[in-house]
Amino acid sequence: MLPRLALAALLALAGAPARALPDPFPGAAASCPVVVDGVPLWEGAADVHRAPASLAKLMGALLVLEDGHLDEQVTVSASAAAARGARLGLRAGERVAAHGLLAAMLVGSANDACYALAERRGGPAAFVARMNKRAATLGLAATRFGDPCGFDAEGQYSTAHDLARLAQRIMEQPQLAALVGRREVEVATAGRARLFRVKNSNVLIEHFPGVIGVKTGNTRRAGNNLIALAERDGRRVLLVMLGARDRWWDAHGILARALER
Amino acid sequence: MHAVTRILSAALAVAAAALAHAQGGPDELWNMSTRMEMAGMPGQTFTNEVCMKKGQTQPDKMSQDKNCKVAEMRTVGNKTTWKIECAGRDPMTGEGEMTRTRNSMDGRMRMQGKRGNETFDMTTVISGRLAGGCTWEDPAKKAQAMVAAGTAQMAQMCSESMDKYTTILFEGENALCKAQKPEYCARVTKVSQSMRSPAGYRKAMSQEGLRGEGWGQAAQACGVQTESIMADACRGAVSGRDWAFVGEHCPAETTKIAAEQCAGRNYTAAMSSEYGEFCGRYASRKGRESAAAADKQQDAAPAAPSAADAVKEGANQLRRLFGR
Repeated sequence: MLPRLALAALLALAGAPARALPDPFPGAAASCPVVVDGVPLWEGAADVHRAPASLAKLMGALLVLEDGHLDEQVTVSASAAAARGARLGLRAGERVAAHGLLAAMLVGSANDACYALAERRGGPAAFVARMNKRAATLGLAATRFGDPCGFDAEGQYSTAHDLARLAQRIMEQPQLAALVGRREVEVATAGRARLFRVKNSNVLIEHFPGVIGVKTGNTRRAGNNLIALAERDGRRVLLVMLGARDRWWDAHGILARALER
Repeated sequence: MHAVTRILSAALAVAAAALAHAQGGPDELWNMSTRMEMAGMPGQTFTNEVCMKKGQTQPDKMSQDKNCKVAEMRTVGNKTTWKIECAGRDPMTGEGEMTRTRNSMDGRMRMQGKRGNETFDMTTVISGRLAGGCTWEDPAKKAQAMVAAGTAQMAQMCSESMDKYTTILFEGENALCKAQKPEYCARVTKVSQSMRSPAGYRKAMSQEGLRGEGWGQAAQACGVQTESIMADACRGAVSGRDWAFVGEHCPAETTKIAAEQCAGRNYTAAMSSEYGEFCGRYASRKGRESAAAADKQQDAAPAAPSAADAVKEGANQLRRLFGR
């Protein structure tokens, strides 16, 4: 029921942005729409093209889930192991179950895990092509992926509006929703040779009561991105911040306000 | 009507006299029924309860008619006969008889007289049944008791209102508990002094009447300065690192501590520290304030600051204030 309500909220965001109030936090982010219980509360430049950064991993996660075979062991390539930014610290040749890589990619935004999954079915370029195809089927007309894990790439963009809809799609999948709501996950290589404890990069999960997902992102071009979904007293608030200036403090204040309004 | 009342009174008075004469027992409650019959008029029956004390010669309410005199009252066995004569307005004479047992009385009385230019002839049939015991009360004492009870109730209400800090009952010229205001204010002063520490404040505020505007109203009515009390409580909260108290009750300290421990500091580090709850509240409040300001200025040109802006602006103001 709740995912459907939230979907209704996002569809409302898509269909009736003009009903939202002007953004009361214009300095908080380049794009900062807020939807409360299906009603766009603050419009927040929801249709401006922005770099998605690691929010792109939401699309990758959806594809991995839909591909299935999550118990399959995936061998980490040298290029995946060499991924920059947030990472588990996987070594080339190590084998990790797909569900472990998925958890690391979503919760910790681990790029080595993300690339390992992207290489699993045809390589990164093919994976990106599938991401774009899936975006089209979801009606994300203002989204174009250029990197499987969201690294800045020419021609890659999305909008807060589209990313909100994608996030909602993620929250409709119980497996994925459970992952993005975890404070921490444990990921093991084959035979539990090595164990990784991965903290959620969305620190609101730990510090803001009521936040139940979804994802962070950060690149030079994107700046700080965040999608957060909070529930309190039957009230459901979805916040998207793209290019946030002071992401956590502002998100905290905005969510608190939106949950009370 | 006067004649009827007089007849009824006379009938009951005589009945009571008969009762008292026949039995000098304890206070007794009687159910009395009196039926009046007059030629050309439908009969009327009246019922009532009468408590008669030992030795009483007539019911209390009958004693007022001083114009009626009972004469020739005689008792033979369990039967009493009498004659009665009433002067004044509606003069009349009559005679009656009453037979009674331990638990009952039955009798009749005939009255004849003049009402205006008309004569009348009325027969009253009296029937009484002993209904049980009762405690006879002197009407004057009863009235005194009622006044005393009212006074006691008022005193109790004022006492309870003190406990509940219902200031409105003590404040003002027409206040119901105006006389107790000194006592009330002594209590308000005492509890206010106990609030100079966070623990004392919380304990005092556990009393419902002091919550919300309660303490402020009581303090104002009694001339208690709340500012110095809160200043002490906040100093105690800071020295005791009671950040929840500071965040809730101490705006000046909150701004200072937020500048040092929340604004500009890494969110995760701040929220994971002992100031976590404090910083969370502060960020939430700033979010609310920013949105509220934006709501007010929705049509005005300048945009409201972000929550972080607000936090930082507060910090900057404070730094300017303290020269840091």
